[in-house]
Amino acid sequence: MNLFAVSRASVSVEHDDDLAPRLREALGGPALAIPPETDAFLEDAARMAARRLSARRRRRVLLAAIPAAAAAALALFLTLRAPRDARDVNGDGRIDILDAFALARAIERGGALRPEWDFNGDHAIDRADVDLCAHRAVELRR
Amino acid sequence: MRLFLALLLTLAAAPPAGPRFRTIPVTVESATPLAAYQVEITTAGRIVGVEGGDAPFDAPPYYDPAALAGGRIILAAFSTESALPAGRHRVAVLHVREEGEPRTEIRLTAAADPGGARVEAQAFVGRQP
Repeated sequence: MNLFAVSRASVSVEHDDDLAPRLREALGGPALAIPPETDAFLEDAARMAARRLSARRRRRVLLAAIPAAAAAALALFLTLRAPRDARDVNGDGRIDILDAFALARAIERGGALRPEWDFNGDHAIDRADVDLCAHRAVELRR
Repeated sequence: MRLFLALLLTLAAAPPAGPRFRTIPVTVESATPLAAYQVEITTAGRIVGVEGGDAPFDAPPYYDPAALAGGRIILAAFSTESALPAGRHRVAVLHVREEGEPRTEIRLTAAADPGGARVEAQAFVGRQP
């Protein structure tokens, strides 16, 4: 018997060369016949277990996604509801000369004018409001 | 005597060391007809005046009067006329008082076509980029 003993702290491993032939001998007996019904039953059970596991995993992912989706929806709602600067006439999120230009074009074409474009509060939307909008665009301290 | 005359001539030919005034044309180049522009300019000198450029941008552009005290200015203008320039066009002229090395930088922040749509364009100081 060839015996190796590796000892580290409290772990000890023994290697026995005779173990493998003995194992082979023990396992090499007559083949165990498994009836097909048992085989099918085991296969079905394994498949159902796998399905149950994946359904549970899906449910877990779904549960985690709901708060994230709710947060995203809330952020979108708040963004859309946030009061937009009235001087952003063309609605591109920036205040520049293109807003004054858009307002001037709307006045010239006789298009729909929004009350919030009355920047000087004189109850008329005209060139004076265009000028105010343009002056805001070129202000150095913005 | 000759040495004295040479010294006098050298002094007379030397450029004045004091401040000088310079006009800086502001040019915008756009492939599509230009209806509106906005540029930001910084210069080493002091901006002392703003003028319009060539028609239809011949009226002085919009700018913050506070810029005249310093070296940074935002110029902007638009035109609702039907005849609008495409290509290279002088849109304004700056008057600058300089003392040191002349240095001017320009950045185009907006340009639009007659329909109000944002377009790609280039801006530069001087007539040539």
